[in-house]
Parts: sequence; structure tokens; C-alpha cells
Amino acid sequence: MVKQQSVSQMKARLSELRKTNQRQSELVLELAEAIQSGQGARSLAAAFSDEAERWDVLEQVARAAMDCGRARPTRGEEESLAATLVKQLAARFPESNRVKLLQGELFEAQGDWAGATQLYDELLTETPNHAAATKRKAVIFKSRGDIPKAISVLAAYVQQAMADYEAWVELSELYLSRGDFQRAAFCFEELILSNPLSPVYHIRYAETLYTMGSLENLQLARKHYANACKIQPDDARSLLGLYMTCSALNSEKFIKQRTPINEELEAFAVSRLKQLYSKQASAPQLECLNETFSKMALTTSS
Amino acid sequence: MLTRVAFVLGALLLFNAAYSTVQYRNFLKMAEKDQSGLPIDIVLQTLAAMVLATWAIVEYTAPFKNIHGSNERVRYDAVDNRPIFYSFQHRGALLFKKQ
Repeated sequence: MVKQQSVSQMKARLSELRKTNQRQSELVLELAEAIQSGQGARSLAAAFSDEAERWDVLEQVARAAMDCGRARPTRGEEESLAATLVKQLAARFPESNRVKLLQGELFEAQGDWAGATQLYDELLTETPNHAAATKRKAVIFKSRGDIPKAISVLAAYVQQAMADYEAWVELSELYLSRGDFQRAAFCFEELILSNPLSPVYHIRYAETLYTMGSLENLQLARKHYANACKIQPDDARSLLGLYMTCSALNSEKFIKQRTPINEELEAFAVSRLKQLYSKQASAPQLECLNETFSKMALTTSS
Repeated sequence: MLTRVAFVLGALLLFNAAYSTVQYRNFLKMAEKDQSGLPIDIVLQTLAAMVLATWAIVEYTAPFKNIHGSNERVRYDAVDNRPIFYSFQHRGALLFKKQ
């Protein structure tokens, strides 16, 4: 797929990947190699004549290389690809904190925890409020499997920087990985407060509440799923969540608290989902979908 | 193009109304008449110019974004991508090994 594109197309694709914030590391590496050979350049840096673009690309490819096991030298290489690129960046920007951070990430990718920790500590003594260095220190614990330590570092960080939504998301994910739904839910509450118009955190919060699954939690989950459906209509994830929550509330377990709204919302979600899929799915797939819905209805109402 | 012409036209009409007002006031002073208020045609022209210019500038800046959030569909993989929290200890090193 990569081979049929022209060099400028591939460069545009790289830039698009940067701008739309996608990880896609294997693709990035492939594109970088194809661009370099397509230009007949000796190094990746030489393939980019535009000065501003060149260093962005080098950073992007270095990170992708770390993702794809190119932080350590592979067969036939004197120096790994990631290390070469980081070295070039460090030569160009010797004082840059961004490059130092990348160097730290390279240490991490090579498994040199002591080196990485030392580097981040140095950054932190220089600038005590260095957010990125603190976050990377949490990542080191995460990478080594010490999730409680990572959580405590991040929890202390968000106490100071409560507006850092990425840190909240990461913290919630760490809590979820430990099965600590209560605390994860708290993180999502913070995120909803900071960005009430984003459907994502409503959905996440509702999913966490649904997983916890008491009556109050399910009712709150229904509310947030409904809000997500309102903000972003025709989103399969929130519609399915709404459906699942309402059918859970309709089950035998909560028979005393049954209200007609659950059935109405359930019917609404199913009809919207069917409508949504009828635009995209083929006939046999639709049949399968209908069957699944009728089976789910049977299991929840019986 | 139409909106630009309309806006320039509206601005000119507004300017013309302001100029007429000044002229009218000067005329009143010279005639030594004591009268407040403006003739109806100037008032109407001002209002018309304002409506025209407002319409033009709104049309020119359109399309507006949805007040209830973004029109763009959420891409969950992009939302979940946090470069600053990348961990490199994963299967990628083995999966994407150079052959």
C-alpha cells in the first residue's frame, strides 16, 4: 500500500498522522523508510528539505521506532534507528527539554530504568514543576508493572495540576486496570466537569457505573448514556450502552423499582441501532443483529 | 462574493447615514431651529444598513459550529492516544521485529 504512493503523498500522510494524533507506529516506520529510499537520501533527515517539518518527523519516527523494537540495534546495525534519530535531534537542539524527554523515553525503551529516572530527576531539579518528567516517572512504574506506585505518583500530580485532563484519563485507566471502579469513576467525574460537552467521558463514566452495577449506579449510568446520545447522536457505543443499562434495570432483580422509561429508552436505543446498522451492514449481518437483539431481550426479560 | 458586496454596501450605507445626520444637524444650526430627532428616511436607512451588514458578516463567517459540542465524530483511538504516557514495554518490539 505504501509503495504505490509518491513521496509527497507519503509526507502528507506522515503529517496527517501527527496532526490527528494516531499511534500507528508500524505505518510511520514504513512511510519513513519509503520516503528515504524514494528520495535516495543517505539519512532520513536529508530527505526533508523543509527545516520545520524535518525535526517534527525525526521525533515522530524516533518514537515509532521505540514502539517497533528499534530502540536496540537490530541485526546489521551499529546503532539502533531510534538512538540515531535522538542523537541527531540532540545535536541540533542541545538545550531542548523536549529532546531530553525523548532521550529519557529512549532509555525507557531500552530498559535502562536507572538512566531514565536519573534524567527525569535532573529535569525536575532544574524545573521543579516539569509536568512531563513527572508523568514519565509514573510511566516507568507502569512499564515495570508497579501499578500502585504509578498511581501514587500520578495521584500526587493531579492534586497539583487538576486541569491536566490527560493525567486524569491515565489515572482512571490505571485504576480500571486494578479493578478499582470507585476511584476510576471519580476521575471520570472530574473529566466530565472539565469538559462537559465531550461525549467520551460521559460514556466512560457510564460504562464504569454499569460495571459496578447497583441500582443507583445503573440509574446514573442511564443518565450519562442518555446525555452522550444527546451530545453525539447515532453513536453506536453510547446507544448500545443505553440499551444494556436499560435492559439491566428492566431485569427481575430490580422488579420493584421498574419504571416505564426503561422500556421506552430500550426500544429507542434498539430502533436507532438497527437504523444505524441498516445503512452500513449487509443483509446477513443485519439478520444476525436482529437475532442477537431478540435473544438479549429474552434473557433479560425472563 | 455576494456577502462581501453586501457587507461593503451595508457599511457604505451606514457611513452615508452618519454623514447625512451631520449634514442635517449643521442645517438645523444654520437655520437656527431648535428641533431634536432625525428625519425618518435617515433612521430607516441606518436600520436597513445595520441589518444588511449584520446579515452579510454572519453569512460570511458561516458555517457555525454546533453549540452543543463538536460536529465531528469522536475517534476513540485518537482520544485514547496520549503520547506523554507511552509505555514501550509491549509486544511491539517482538511483533514488528525487522526480519
